[in-house]
Amino acid sequence: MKNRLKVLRAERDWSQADLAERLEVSRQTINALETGKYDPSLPLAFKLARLFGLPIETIFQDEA
Amino acid sequence: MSDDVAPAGALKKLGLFAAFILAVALSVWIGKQGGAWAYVGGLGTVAASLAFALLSNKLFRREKIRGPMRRYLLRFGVSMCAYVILLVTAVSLGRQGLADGPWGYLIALAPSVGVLGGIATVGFYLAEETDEFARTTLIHSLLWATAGTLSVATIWGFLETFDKAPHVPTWALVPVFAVFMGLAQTLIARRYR
Repeated sequence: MKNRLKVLRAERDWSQADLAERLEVSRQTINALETGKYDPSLPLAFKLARLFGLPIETIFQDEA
Repeated sequence: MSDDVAPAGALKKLGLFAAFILAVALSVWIGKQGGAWAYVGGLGTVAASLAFALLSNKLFRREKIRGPMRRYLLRFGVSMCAYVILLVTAVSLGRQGLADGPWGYLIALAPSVGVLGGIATVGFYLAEETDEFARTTLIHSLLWATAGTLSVATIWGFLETFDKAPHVPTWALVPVFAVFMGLAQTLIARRYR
């Protein structure tokens, strides 16, 4: 699934490791999310939305 | 490829791998000297494998090993040390003819304790890992390794039935599973790079 994680992270000047630490996941997870190869579970998607202060649908784009 | 982690040099990777192979070869050689050296060789192999796991993580991921993985490596190391000690002791007692009779079952079952401990540590890790992506990729690897091991067991079993292959004890399936696991984890990590 396409997403704006990389842009949102860059806007805050966070590295992948910074974002990983804030979400309590590994850096590999952030990388897999950003490249769109792995879709997060609903709880992780909500956690991301809360962290960026944005609705989920503005972070992830449903291509269906 | 991620944007904020530089890949480790191919030379470093090769160096680490060569050092690991060398350490294992040395341990095996020490173990072959017999007697108490078998313990030293076995425990040396476990130590070399753990050092390889820790160093490769440091070199290639440049990230601190998270709590659940640290506990997994510790438990797995303890299980493998127990396995080496129980196996060497059981084999040596067996050679002295002490595995005969009903008490022999205890000696025959002893090495399994270490291996079952190792299998249980994977279960504990899965239960404790909070990173859903790490959990998902591990489950995928376990499924691939299961499929691979069952395939090898089926093919070998039928070859054996028709006298086309020598008998292999079923405990050999554990290292076969480990090889498939390593292969699957490498390929899956590559897919998500």
